[in-house]
Amino acid sequence: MPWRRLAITLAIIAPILALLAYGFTRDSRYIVSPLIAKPATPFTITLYDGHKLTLDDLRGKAVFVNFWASWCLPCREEARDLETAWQKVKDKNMVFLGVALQDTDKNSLEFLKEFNVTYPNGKDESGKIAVDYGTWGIPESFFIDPQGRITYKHVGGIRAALVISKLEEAAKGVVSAQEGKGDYSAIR
Amino acid sequence: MKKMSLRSVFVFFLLIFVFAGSLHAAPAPDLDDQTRAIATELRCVVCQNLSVADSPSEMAQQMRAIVREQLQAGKSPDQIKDFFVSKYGEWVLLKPKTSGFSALLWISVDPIAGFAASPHRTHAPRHRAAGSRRFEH
Repeated sequence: MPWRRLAITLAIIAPILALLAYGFTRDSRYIVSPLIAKPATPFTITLYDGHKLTLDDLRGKAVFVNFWASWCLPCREEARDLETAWQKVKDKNMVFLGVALQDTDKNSLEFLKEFNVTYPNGKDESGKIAVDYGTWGIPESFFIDPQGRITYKHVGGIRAALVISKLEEAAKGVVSAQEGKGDYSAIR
Repeated sequence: MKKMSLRSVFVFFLLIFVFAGSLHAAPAPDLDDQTRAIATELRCVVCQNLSVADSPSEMAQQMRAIVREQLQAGKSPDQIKDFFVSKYGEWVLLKPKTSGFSALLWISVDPIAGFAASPHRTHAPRHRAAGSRRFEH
């Protein structure tokens, strides 16, 4: 019975083809974070102005953490947007923190000066903070609620409007169902 | 009595020799070897098709340093792998655990292979049957 053989063949091949088609729609480099809705790992960072900042000290505020590097093109593209967003929320109960990765102090400081960045920035010396936050692309941004829980993650460049709206959600403790995605560079 | 004490001394030295030999035969694994063994099982988040042990990327170097540091802190290989899984998900394991959806994939390989081979098997008896009928005529 050829129709029976055809049906069996289709029953085998169709799911495999569907799986392949699904695979083509996905970014094979993309790593889905298991950290959303989980407590943000505490860390201490030395800022470029010499002060030390500990994440636990920011408890009670909505926190925006942005991993960046001066050599990363999408980081340059989002830099002005981040400063714009910071200027709009800095008088609210919200904090911005930039974490430079795999970069020299000289290049990082030039970057901050070039884009007139005024919010606190420091360097992840050993790369431990990046691993603690499961970083693999750059820029990567994390939104943390006043209780210290990660509410949203965005891989790649992010716009000012989205930063503000996700920070407002974080302030209310609203956890996003999905991560956001923009243009990103692979870290080195 | 003298004979007895000589025998005791002999047994004593023999035991020391055996004990020292066993220590020499099973040395504690070197920290570098342990670090490499664990790093071999972790996927580099930059190269993705290389292990953390083999990747030359800066990120892999940092991950190896973390593995080493956690070993020095007394963590077991499983605890260290679980740490990286908690940050990157099971994706970070080059050999994922066979549970949940991945277990389903592992289990489904054999039936699919069996199905794929079955048309060849169904052809064979039909030819044989046709041949035997011809023989009967």
